[in-house]
Amino acid sequence: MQSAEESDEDLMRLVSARDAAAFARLVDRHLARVHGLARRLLGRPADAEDVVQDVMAKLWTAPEAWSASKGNFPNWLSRVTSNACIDRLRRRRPDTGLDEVMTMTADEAAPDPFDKAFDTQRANRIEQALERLPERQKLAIVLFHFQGHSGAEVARIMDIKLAAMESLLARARRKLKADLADDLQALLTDN
Amino acid sequence: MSTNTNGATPQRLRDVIAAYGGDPGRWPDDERDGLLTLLRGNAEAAAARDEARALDQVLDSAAAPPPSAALRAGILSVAAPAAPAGTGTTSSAKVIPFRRPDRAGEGPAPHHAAPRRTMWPTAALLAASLLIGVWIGAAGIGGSLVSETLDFASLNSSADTYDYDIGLSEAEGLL
Repeated sequence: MQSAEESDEDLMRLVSARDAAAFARLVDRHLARVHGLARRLLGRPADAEDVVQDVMAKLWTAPEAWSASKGNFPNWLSRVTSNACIDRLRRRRPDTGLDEVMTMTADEAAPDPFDKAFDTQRANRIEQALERLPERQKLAIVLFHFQGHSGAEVARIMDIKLAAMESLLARARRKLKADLADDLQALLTDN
Repeated sequence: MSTNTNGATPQRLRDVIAAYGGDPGRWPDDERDGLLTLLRGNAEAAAARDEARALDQVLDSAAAPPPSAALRAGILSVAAPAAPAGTGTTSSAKVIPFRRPDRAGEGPAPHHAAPRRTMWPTAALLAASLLIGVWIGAAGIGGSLVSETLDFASLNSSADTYDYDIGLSEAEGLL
C-alpha cells in the first residue's frame, strides 16, 4: 500500500532494490503526466506510447540513471521524456514532411479509442496548432502550460536561461493565439 | 504612488502576461505581488491579462487522453518475476514491448506468442470443414444443402435472417 509520505526518491531506492510493487507505484504516480507530455510533443499516439514505454521501463532496467544529485525526480523524468521525444521527432523528419505529420496527427487522433472521452474536433485544432510550433517553443509551452512546471523548472529542464525560456513561451503563445483566433471565440462560447 | 510594486514595471507586467498567461498563480513567485499591485491600476494590462486568460482556457479545454491500461501493463511487464531457470530470460532483461495494432508497416513487429496461439483454432476449423464436406459428399445430401446455401446467398429473399437460421438448424441436424 502506498504511503502518503513515500517520496519519489524512496520509491527509486526500492526500485533499485528490485521491488516490483514500488516500481508499479512509481509508474502509477507519473504515467499520466509522462504520457501527456509525449502525446503533446509527438502528436501520434503510437509514437507517444513507444517513447513512454521505453522511458518508464528504463526506470526499472536502469534505475541508476537517476540520482538525487540530478535534481527533482519529476523534472528529471520530464527532461528524459522530452529528449526522447525530440530524438523521435528528428528521426521522423527525413521520412515525413511536416504537412504529412500534421495530417497524420489529426487523422490518427480521431479513431483512436483512447480519445473517446475527449472532444476530438476541438482537441485536434489545438493539437494541430501545437504541431505547427517550432520544436523549442512547443516544448516550452507543453512543459509550462500542460505539464504544470514552473517557469524556472522549464528553464532547468530545457537547460536554458529563464529569459530565453520566457521568450520561447511568449512566442509560442503569440503563435497559438494567432492560429486559434478563428476558433477562440467559438471555443470559449462552447465552454 | 504609495503602493509597493517591488520594482515591477508596466513593461515587465506585459512581458510576464505574454509569457506566463493570465493566471497570476503561474507567474514567478518573487514577482507576483508587485505585478498584481501594478495590474490593479493598469487597464491596458488588465485587458491583456483577460486575453491571456482566454487563451489559457482554450488550451485547457484540450485534455490529453489518459494512458491505456495496455500501456501500463506493458511497462510493468519489465518487472515481472524472472522466468524459470533455463529459459534464458531474467526479469531485468526481458522487456515485452507494447505495440499498438495500428503500427503496421512501421518496421518489424516484436515477437509474441499470441500469433502462434491464434493459428490453432483456424487450422482446427479448416480440418473440421474438410471432414464435414467429405461426410456430406459420401452421404449424398450435398445437393439439398448446396441448394439451401444458394437460396441464402441470393439477395432476393424477403426474410434472409429467417432463412439463415433455418439453414443453420438443418446443418446442425445433419451433423
